[in-house]
Amino acid sequence: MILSSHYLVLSAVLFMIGAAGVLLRRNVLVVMMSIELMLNSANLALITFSRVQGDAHGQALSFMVVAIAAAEVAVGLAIVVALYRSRRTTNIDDLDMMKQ
Amino acid sequence: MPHTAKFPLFLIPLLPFLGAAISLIFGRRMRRQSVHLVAVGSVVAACTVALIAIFGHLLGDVSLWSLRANWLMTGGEGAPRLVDAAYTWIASGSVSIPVGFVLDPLAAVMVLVVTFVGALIHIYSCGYMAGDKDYARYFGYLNLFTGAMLILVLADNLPLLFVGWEGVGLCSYLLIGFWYGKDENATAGKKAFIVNRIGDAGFLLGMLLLWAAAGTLTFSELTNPDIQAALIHKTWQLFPQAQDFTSPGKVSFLIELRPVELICVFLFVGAVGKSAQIPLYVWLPDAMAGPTPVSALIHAATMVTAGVYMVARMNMLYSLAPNILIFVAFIGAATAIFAAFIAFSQNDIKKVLAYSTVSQLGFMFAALGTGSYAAAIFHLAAHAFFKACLFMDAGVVIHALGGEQDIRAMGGLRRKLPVAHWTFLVSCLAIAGIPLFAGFFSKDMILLGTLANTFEKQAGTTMLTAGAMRTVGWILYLMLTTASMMTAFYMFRLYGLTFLGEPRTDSRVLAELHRPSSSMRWPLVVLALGATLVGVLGAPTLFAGSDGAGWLFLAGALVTAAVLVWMAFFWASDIEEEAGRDSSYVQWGLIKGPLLGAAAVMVFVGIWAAAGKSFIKIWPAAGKSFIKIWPANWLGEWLKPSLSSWPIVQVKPEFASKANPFVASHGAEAWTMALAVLLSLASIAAALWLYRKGPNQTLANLVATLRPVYKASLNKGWIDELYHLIIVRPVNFSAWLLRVAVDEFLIDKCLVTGAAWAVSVFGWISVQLQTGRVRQYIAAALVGLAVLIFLTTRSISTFDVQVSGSQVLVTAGVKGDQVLGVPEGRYRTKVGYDFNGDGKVDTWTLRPSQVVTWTYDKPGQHRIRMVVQDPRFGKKTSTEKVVTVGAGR
Repeated sequence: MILSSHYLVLSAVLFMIGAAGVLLRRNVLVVMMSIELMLNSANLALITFSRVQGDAHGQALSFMVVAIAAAEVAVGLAIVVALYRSRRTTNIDDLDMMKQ
Repeated sequence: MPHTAKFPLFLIPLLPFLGAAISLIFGRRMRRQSVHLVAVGSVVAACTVALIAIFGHLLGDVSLWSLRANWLMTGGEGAPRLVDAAYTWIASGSVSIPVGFVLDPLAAVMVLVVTFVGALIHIYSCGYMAGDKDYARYFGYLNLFTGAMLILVLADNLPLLFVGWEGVGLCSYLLIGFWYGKDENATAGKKAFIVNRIGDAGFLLGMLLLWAAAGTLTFSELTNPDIQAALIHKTWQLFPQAQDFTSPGKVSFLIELRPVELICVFLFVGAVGKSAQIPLYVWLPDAMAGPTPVSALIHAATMVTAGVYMVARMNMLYSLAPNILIFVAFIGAATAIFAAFIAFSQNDIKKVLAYSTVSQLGFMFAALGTGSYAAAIFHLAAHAFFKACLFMDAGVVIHALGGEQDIRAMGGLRRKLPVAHWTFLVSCLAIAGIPLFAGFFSKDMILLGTLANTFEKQAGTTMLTAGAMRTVGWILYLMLTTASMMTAFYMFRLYGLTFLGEPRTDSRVLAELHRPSSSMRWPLVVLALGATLVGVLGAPTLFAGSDGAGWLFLAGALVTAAVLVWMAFFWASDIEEEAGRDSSYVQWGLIKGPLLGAAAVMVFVGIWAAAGKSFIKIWPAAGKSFIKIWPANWLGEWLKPSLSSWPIVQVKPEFASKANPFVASHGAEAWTMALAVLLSLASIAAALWLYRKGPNQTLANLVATLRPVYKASLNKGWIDELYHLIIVRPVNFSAWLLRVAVDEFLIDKCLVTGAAWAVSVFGWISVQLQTGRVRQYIAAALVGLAVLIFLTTRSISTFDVQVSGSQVLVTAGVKGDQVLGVPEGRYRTKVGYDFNGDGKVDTWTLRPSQVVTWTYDKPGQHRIRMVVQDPRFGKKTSTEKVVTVGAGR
């Protein structure tokens, strides 16, 4: 039997994989993909709780997360393209302008 | 109050304050004439207001004089006085301190001395300070001083008196350091200020203690018998906590005091500071760094007498503490002798006068200590005249010689400065106690006070027996007589070295001698006349004329008149020779005229004293009305309403009588007078014989013979050095220690620099954190998130209880807050329940939502404790509930 806790554990595992990807990978595109993974793990948790509580608000919220994630990816990829054009790199470690 | 009337007394101090404000604010842009017009005008105006307040009945108004006349006729409690409550200064809870002024006979004497002598000194200053660039600042300070002194004198409560007290202290400091360009002047100012702070701390403590004990600080209320009883009969225990450490009934370390004694001691400490008594006199000689008129006004005539005035003002308390009075008397007498001893060998003309002032103030305190408050005030007034005159003469000499103050470089100024000479000589005669000059009467009254039997009668109220009190009186008498003899000697030493003999001054200086201007000369003449005649105010038994004392007076008066006439004509040739173009004005206006006038008054007084009684027989109406307004010891009678507490001491009822303060026989009076005069004359003769020709071989031999004594006197008894060693150097050392250890190390290094260093270290750490690499930031955010989750998620903290008969059913969590199911496995939240209250868990479960049941044997209240064990770290938390179960089935 698949319990709700199994979904939650999956969500946590996916989140950790995403987080690890964000922390460890250097390529900006991979990092963005990892962020997407984390968002989706959160969606999974939302939907699980929604089901456990018998409340549809969680599912509605997860749709909103999907929509906003799409917009975020669009902006994020545009930034990546702009960065690549100016810096000729997608290595995140070379992009340390936030220090200034 | 029957003998009270209202009068706008606030005008008296306000006028000088207004003058000060004008001089200090606009003075720089004003012409010199306007500056001194404002300064002198404001003091003269204050003097006029005071005169109206005292003698206003002549203008058809109520005045202090008419109130006193009424008081004399009807008698009654409370002194006749004019009052003025300006406004309430402090109102807080039970404390209400008004800015209230009171003019009673005591304040009246002081106000007249301050405004009259003050006005003369202001006029004199116009000439003395004529060349000074800070003319306006000088007069501003001088006016400020006069105003503060008048507040001090007119205050009707101690806090207001303290305001004036501190105000005159401030002005003293400002004027001592008036020529602040010279380092030693500024140092002298600071010394005066700091030494005075010691005294002021005592004064403040005394005031607070009085508030604690009596609940009032208003003078007129302190005569209330209930308040006085509280001050005497209550006792204060010092170190009361000492009782706690000892067993009951065995008190090893407990001092009991009557409040009034402690209060009087502390107030006296204030007076010792302000009036330069042992051990706080050291500031006064150094205060001579200020301009000479300042020395005359502040450090001789008025401010330094504030302590005497204060003790006299608080006489209703001091009379309740005769033990303290004896202490006051001995401090005064010791100061009188010691300062006179130092004055013997000082070579600075102003220093000699300064030590003389200290010595005379000692006389006043001795008088206060023997309960002769009126004698102290009398001596104060007389001293204000002759000492101000002496200082201003010294000022003329210093001014004339272009700043020279060393008497070894003077001599022979008799012919050069005739007005200064005769006024100086008259003042010397007054201070030496030659009849019938002012100092003669006041000093005689003080000496007599030590032997008056009222002093002896205080034995019952002091620690001493009657015999011991008599001895104390005699010791005081001998000390004061010695000091009086010494006074005559050092004053005539000063006179001889300055005015007699051949000039020892540089001939170039002598050729360009600065003659005193008119504004500097005639104040001297007025003061010298005061020093000659003011004593008549307090002459005892002057118009009794029945027991031979009157004939004695006639003799004295004739001798004095002869001296004055001799002075007037003996120096006539000198003046004609030296005084130059203004000779006839100087000769008749400033020298012969006043001297002959004074001689005429003396002759009149003498004849009246001897023949007054016969005159009364011939023309009773005129004689009696004259005696009515001018009785024997007129000043004492005038002051009586203010100073009547002595010897009314209520400790023992047998002393509660309104006897005359001076109950001594005429015989004692006659022989003390005669002895004092003989000793003074001998001293004068010795001094003149030794010093009439300036330093000479006889003197050198004498100094060589008395070398240790001479050294001690010259070096002022090494007291300054002693204070330097035991006070200044330890203070400096501790200041140095504090500077190095606390200021430089702890505050500068550790706190200030240390704080900056700590900030920069944390800044450096923060800089290292800010790499600009997003991944590191995210990592930090995730770690923080993990920590937050760990910290904020709680274990199950409550449980539900259902009771059914003797059975209870418990579930972790509360209804509607279901615990989430956690998968089976190794890390599980363990929940346990302790039902029977023995501290041990009775049932453990790995499923928090499981319902656990328990059956009790006994009905009643039971305590259920739930223990939750954290699955990750094994931490246990527990919650308790109390249930009531019924009987079993």
